[in-house]
Amino acid sequence: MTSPTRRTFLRQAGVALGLPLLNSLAPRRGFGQGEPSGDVRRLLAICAPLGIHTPYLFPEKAGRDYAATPYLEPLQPLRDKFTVISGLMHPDVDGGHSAEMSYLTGAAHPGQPSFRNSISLDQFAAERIGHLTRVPSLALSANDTSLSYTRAGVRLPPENRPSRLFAKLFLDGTEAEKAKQMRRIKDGQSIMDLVRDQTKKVEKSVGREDHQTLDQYFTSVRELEQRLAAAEKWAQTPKPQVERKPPDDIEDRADFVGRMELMYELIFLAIQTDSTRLITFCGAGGNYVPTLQGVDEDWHNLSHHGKDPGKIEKLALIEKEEMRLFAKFLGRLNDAKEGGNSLLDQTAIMMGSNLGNASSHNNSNLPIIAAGGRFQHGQHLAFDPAKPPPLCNLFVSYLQHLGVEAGEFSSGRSTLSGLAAS
Amino acid sequence: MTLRPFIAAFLAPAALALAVSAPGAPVGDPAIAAFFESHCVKCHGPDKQKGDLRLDTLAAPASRDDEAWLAILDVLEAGDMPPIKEPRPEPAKVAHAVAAVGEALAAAGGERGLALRRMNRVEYENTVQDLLGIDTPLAELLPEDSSVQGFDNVADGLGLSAILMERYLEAADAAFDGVIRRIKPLPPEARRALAMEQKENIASVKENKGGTIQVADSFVKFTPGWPPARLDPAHPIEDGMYRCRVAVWPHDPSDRTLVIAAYVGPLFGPGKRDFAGMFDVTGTPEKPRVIEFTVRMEAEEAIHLEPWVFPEHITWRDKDEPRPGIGIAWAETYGPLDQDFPSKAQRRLFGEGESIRLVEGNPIWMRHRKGVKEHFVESDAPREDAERIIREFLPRAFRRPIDPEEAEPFVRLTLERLDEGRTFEQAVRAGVTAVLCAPQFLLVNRDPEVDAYTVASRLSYFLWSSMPDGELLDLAAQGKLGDPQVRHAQVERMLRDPKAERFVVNFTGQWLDLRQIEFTTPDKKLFPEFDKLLQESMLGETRGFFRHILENDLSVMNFVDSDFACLNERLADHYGIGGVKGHEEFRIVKLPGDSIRGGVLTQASVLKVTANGTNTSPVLRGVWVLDNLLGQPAPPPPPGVPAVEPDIRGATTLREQLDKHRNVESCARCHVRIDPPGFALESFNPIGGFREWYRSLGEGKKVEGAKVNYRQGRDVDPTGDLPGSGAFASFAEFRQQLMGREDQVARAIATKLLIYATGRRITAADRPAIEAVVAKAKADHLGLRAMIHAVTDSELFYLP
Repeated sequence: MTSPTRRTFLRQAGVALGLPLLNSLAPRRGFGQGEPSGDVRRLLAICAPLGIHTPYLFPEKAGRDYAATPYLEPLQPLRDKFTVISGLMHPDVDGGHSAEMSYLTGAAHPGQPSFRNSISLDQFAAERIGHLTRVPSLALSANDTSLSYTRAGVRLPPENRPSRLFAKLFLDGTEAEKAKQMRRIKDGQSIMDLVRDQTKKVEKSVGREDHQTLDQYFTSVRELEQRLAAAEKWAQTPKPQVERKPPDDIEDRADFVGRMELMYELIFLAIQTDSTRLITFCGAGGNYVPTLQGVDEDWHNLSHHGKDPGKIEKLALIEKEEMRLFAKFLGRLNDAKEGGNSLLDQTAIMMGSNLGNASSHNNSNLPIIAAGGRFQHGQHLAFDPAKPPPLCNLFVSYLQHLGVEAGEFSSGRSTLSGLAAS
Repeated sequence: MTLRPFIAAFLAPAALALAVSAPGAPVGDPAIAAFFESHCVKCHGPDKQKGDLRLDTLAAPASRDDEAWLAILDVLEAGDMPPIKEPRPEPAKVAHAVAAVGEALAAAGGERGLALRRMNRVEYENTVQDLLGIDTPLAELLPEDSSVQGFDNVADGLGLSAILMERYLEAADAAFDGVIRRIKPLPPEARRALAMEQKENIASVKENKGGTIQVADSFVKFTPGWPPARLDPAHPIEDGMYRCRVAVWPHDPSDRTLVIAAYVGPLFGPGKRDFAGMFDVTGTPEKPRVIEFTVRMEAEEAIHLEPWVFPEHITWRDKDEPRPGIGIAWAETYGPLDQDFPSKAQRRLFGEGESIRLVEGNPIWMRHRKGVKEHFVESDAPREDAERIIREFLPRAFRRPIDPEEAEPFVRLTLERLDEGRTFEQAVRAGVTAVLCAPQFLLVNRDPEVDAYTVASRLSYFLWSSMPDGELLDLAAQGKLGDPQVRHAQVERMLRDPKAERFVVNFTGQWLDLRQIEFTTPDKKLFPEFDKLLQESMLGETRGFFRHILENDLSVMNFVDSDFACLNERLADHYGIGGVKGHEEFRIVKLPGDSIRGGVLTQASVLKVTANGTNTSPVLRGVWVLDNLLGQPAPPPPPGVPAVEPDIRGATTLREQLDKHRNVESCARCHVRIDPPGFALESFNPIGGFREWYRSLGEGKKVEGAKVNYRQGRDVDPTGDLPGSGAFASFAEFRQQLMGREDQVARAIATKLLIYATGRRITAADRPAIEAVVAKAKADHLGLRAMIHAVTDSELFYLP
């Protein structure tokens, strides 16, 4: 037994009470089992927070016989499994980096002082299919922000430590830890019960029954009660076992290749074990010099290249590496079978950025790659940047892929034209 | 002319609203109706509805939050409308229309949102720490809060979710752990390490790693990087508070003042290092300077020492001077200083009665001590003690007295744990956690009426970002906080308290965006002189400047222009001001007459957070000035407008691109006021240096006499035309124009203070209340302290 220090305690606090994010107790297929059967649909949305240099991404020619651009080169072995889309944007979403908040929500004017966000694509889906897995959704990040927002517009805290994520998904604690966990779940239930009554009391004294903060208080307590109840059940079900040692976190943020690779590996395992079906991932990017041959300048800085050719070349080295990692991950999903299909066919993936041009902080003509899922891929889908359909139309297509009956989502009014389901 | 509803609103009582909603208000105002009729309806009427706005059918404001009317008021006041191509209405008529719409909005009433909100995570940490007497970090356990109107304590931005609720359970658990000290601390002792007795340092010197050498008995380090100065024997062997001392001296500094930055944290591997301070390095090898700081450290944590050398010395380039470095002779820690066992926090929560005991539990393995056992709290009278603890804790946590019945459910929950066979400590833990998750704890302004206790909390969350202390609560109990004099004396006391630093840091962090200081790292080739020392100094300057104005109740107009600055040597050098020696201490310096500095717009911190590291954008800086100093936030660009793209190759400037931009009418109406402040600020580069030409990585002349990678690009053109104030030829002239807008600046700053103080959205409908604050402060030379007092007297401060 070692002496737990205060910091290590805090680092583990998330594990200690790392409740599965469940909101229903409905009996489910494959409860607690690693191998689901049948047609299980999933979603993964990835954001490159510092943008993707689109001249190196978008092919000149639209349609199926486009010539591969430098960034699409690593994806060519899977050419039939993805579509590169140009010209899209979220209508009224501006504000440069602020637009990251609206990447999966489509909420207008994120840079404005009065901005309030709306629900993100994954959370919208989680409300409907999240209860089917141990973890309803995962909001992952290679930095400090997540892409996921609740119905009230509250950003979910990101999971950015692979070690903690691994523990949450795959490690059963010791008997003493499990007992402690169970005690906390039980106490949590009693406490939430009390808090619900107290909230009613406060609401009564305030005298405004429709008050938003109190409503949210209520809803939060109720949802947490449901999740605690679910947690109690899941706590008695062993977690799926994977053939991998618990990972060590990579503290050197300049090693973005290592960090991204590790996160991709865990995403793969989470999908393969059906621990969750909805994942968002805010990728690496920040003001540091990435460890990569030929790059000696700060990444954020390079993205503000100001058209300097030297900077653009270094930026391209980084972004090509990002694309290589993404391609490798897709390849792995493609090789893994589930029933008669590959995991890639079961998982609708969007990889892109909220920045169309990082150097000018523009939020139009976004770089978007749609990969996997049941779609007719293999093309460059080029929209006129002057009058594009909303990016949320792609989200509607993805919701339908998941089997969620939705004809609209945020600014999306239909499925995305040109991307037919297969 | 047909009488359309909108215009009718100003004319006919039957057509309601604008002029008649307040009883006794003058009925009808043909002048206002005529104003809209002649300047607006052409484009926003039956024929055209630009921006989807049709004024002739627009109903009078239905509530104080009527968005259409608020927007109309904004564009009128800012002068964005009518568009520049149209005839300008006389300023007096605009002012009249603005006032009429403002009054109509204020009179429209409608339910104002409540001030009721949850604490943000900073307030949560402060409150729980102050409540329990612990220093456990808690904010990092909670998700980030979002900001509304620029502040993260505004009700609308503070949503709740199940995830947040779950984190509150965890944070309460962590806080409870912080209350109980599990192991009896060792008696305090000094642990000392002589640098040149460490084998790692000896090896580093032997291999000349990172250039390290030995001089006298010291380890001389030249860079912040590898290899670290190893001082392992000084590391504490147990968690606690430690007084650290380090002996350092400057090695070949030439005419520099060298700095050593100290951090504490894990020796290697994961975990964060906490900044303990930066210190000037003086003395000699024989008589080094001994720097001292007191910090919380965990067992085995290290003191990390980084030399910060400015100007930078590059060995292959600067062959003419010896390499400057820092000699490190020894380091020492003394502690643990906190010897209480049981801890003070435990005695405070559990009480000191005889029935409460700390008893030994499981053995715990420690490298340096044998037979140590963890302790836990036990009681001889568990039911009585548990009930007493929860009953005593509740009113403090809820920040007001409570009825005995209100305590019942909390007591019951605690006792039920005992009934279920839980330990005494587990039962109290559950009870305390329940209190810390209750709405009465987490929500502020939760009471329907603003009574003395609410006032106590409002004062404390404004100035301390935390709960009220005993004195405030006592005054509330005595009913004295209704007396303005008592309140003012409290505000003075609170501002003198060290906790007021939270106000300085949180308010400047958000009003002046200092929280963004690390968001970009300036380009190394363009700005080789940027270093960590400069960044740290930037924060020191602006916080020190704000503190000086606050402490001395100087006019808020000093934020626009001041004849003093708050500098250390690094910044004085950056600003070209002589005679300031030493980086450690920031001092108030009278600015020379020919200095361009003075006011926040010339401070490197503000100039850095409004740039992106590589270049500056007049648009971003212009928007910043409008919002933060002039109180006129700019609307977002219309959809589909291509953004201007910076070009650092030296061929074009953003200004040229913006000139094109402004020829487009839809852009011009806002850019005509956005761009000019930004143009004036082009005189400053992204790290706050003054410039007359842009640095370029492409075209340009060679820079004479400097060994730099950049070239001399195009000249800066800081001229512009500020609507309402006229043309300016330089930044200094522009700043003079701002000084002429005293009322507007004062209103902008008063509004920021009101948002922060009340935690609610402030809109144009609050204009009369804002004016009242300004008027009160004006009667007292617009002093910042006077303005803070006026804010705490404002009617907005007392709304439910």
